[in-house]
Amino acid sequence: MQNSFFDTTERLLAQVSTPQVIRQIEHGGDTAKLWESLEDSGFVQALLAESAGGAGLTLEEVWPVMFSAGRHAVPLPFVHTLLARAWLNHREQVIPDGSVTFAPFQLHKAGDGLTARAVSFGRTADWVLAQHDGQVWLLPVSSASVVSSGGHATLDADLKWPAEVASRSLLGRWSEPQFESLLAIALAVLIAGAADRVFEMTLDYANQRVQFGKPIGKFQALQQQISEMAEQVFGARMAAQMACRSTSWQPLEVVVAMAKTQTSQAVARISAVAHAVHGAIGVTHEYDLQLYTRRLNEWARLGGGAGYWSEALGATALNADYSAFDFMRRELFGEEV
Amino acid sequence: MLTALEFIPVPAQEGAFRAEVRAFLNETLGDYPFHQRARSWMGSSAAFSQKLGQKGWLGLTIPPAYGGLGKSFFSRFVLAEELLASGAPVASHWIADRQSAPLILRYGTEQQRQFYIPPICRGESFFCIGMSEPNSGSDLASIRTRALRNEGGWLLNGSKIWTTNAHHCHYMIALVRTSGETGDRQKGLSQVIIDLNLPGVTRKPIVDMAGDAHFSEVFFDNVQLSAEAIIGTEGQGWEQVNAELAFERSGPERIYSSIALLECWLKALREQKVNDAATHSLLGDLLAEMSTLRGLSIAVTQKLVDGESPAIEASVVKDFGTDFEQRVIRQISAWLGSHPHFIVSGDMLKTLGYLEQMGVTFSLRGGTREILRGIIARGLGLR
Repeated sequence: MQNSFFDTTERLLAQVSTPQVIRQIEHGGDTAKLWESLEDSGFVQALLAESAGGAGLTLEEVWPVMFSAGRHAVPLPFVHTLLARAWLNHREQVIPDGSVTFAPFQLHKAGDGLTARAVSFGRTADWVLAQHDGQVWLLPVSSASVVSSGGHATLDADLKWPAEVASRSLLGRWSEPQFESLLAIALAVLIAGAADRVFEMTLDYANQRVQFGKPIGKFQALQQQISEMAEQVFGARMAAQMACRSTSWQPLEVVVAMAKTQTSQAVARISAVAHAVHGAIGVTHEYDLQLYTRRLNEWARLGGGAGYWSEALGATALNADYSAFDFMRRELFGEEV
Repeated sequence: MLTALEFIPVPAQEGAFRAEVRAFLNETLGDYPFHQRARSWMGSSAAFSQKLGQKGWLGLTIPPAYGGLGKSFFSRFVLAEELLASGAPVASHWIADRQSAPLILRYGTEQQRQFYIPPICRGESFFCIGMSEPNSGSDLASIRTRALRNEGGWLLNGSKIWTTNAHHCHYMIALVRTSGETGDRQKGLSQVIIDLNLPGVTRKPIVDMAGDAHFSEVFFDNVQLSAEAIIGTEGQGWEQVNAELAFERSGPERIYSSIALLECWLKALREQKVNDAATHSLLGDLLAEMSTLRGLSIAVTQKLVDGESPAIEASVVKDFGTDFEQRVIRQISAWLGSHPHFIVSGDMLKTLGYLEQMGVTFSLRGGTREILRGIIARGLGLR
């Protein structure tokens, strides 16, 4: 990608979001230093207007930064925070210090408190923007009980806040879903980035690993699979980039639905081929591939998977008046019909 | 090395041209049934092609000096997309317009350009491409059809097979051996233009499993070609063919081959007011992938605009696209099987039947899935 934001972010993340840092944070290590580096980069504020202390960039302009975050599997909700701050600013709310994630699903409110399950980056976020029954909260993770939810070394968590924390964290009421598509676009872009990284690693490995006297990438059986993987990786990237086509901070929900569908459904094949090519070394703790494929699997499912978003997209299309072709051009490409 | 494709929108100024094409198609095609539309670029009508020629829409990117409009590759993308999405019967002119005219423009002599290209642009001259032979399919470099130099020019002997639309065409551009032996592989091959009405040419249409005859076998028995029959450089046929395939494989025709079925199904869903989650999900899933492919195809078009020869990127779109085209057939067919109470019109069943039968060719024609993936692997530096 020829883009100065991309180059800057790549250089930064190659230094601060290394496999070693990811491992440390997955095992409960401190997140403050990494967050400080991300905050210092200025990109966390990128979508805010200059008058609000931001860079006044559009989603389209910030896309390379978010894609890079996926490539480096940043173990904090960096992309989520970019979008969360833009939302808070848009709603004229105070922006808290630290990282923010979204919890639009699996909220449960009872007399003794508020529970949010399977929160993306729930273990490493500082704040959670949650919505349930029209109520929106900005909740501090420091006041929550945090229980890791998911497989080994996941960063997702079940969070529970006491009732009094929840009541003083209420931001307001919005009847429309506020965070579903923000979480979905964040994850779609992260998938596209991590898929790109996994693909890069797979190509390198296929060229280096020698069996039967030649690099395994010389075997047609693997070439066929890697070519198919390339198609899926390029497709995921295209879909995610299309979802970022916006001249404001806000994505279009219908395009987000398309992108989360496409990226999520691509993950299974991408991950399968990456592991098929790497063989046993790919599933070891020591080797880096798993740092990215574990995230891919989680991100595909979280925030609504392919089935959830394809249902939303299909319902919109079915209830429209256009042919499939014109619906696509109009709603997903913004062309005149 | 092959790298990811960047999104680029279709230039907004193409909107007016699209509207003009759409209006023409609505008027010309009228209530053309879905099962005919399903034939897409396998359905032929010389009269329809001539109408397009009269509009000036053949050879759209060809300079006006040769009878074209000199428009951009994006205009061509828009036209191709509208023709394919509507399932217009474009087979007669499709190859001449897509491949032959650009090839002659790029490699032909001035005399060849003046002679062959203007009639293509008028919709009066149709071309086919002679590649496969009975013993040369995916292994194209093993072809045996030979043109031997003689006093009159070249004497052609051999045969071609699976040649799309050969029996309705005026000319064939064939890859033949002009020197060396079969064992020399890619060396010694050349492209020649063959007038299919010459003595010694026999065309035998082959009936396909859908009951159509969309391809032919063509025999050459001592066919005398003039010295000017060679297009481009003698012995450079292999390189020229590969450059030509970038035109063939980059277009949107590798996304929309099953769109008649998708549109027909969507229309029936609306008419019968089907509105359940599983149906939404299938429709959304197909639309998501179709959009992704369209984004990729537009990105390849941008590379053509930039003067590149995106042969490998085009292979990515083609292989990915044909997989989608086949999935549309498989999944809508499965959906119908899951909904036995759904009323399926005869037109829809014929559409499905045609595509179920011929859909298997989508990943064969113009380079098989396995060959394309080999090309992609080479582009990735694996070969």
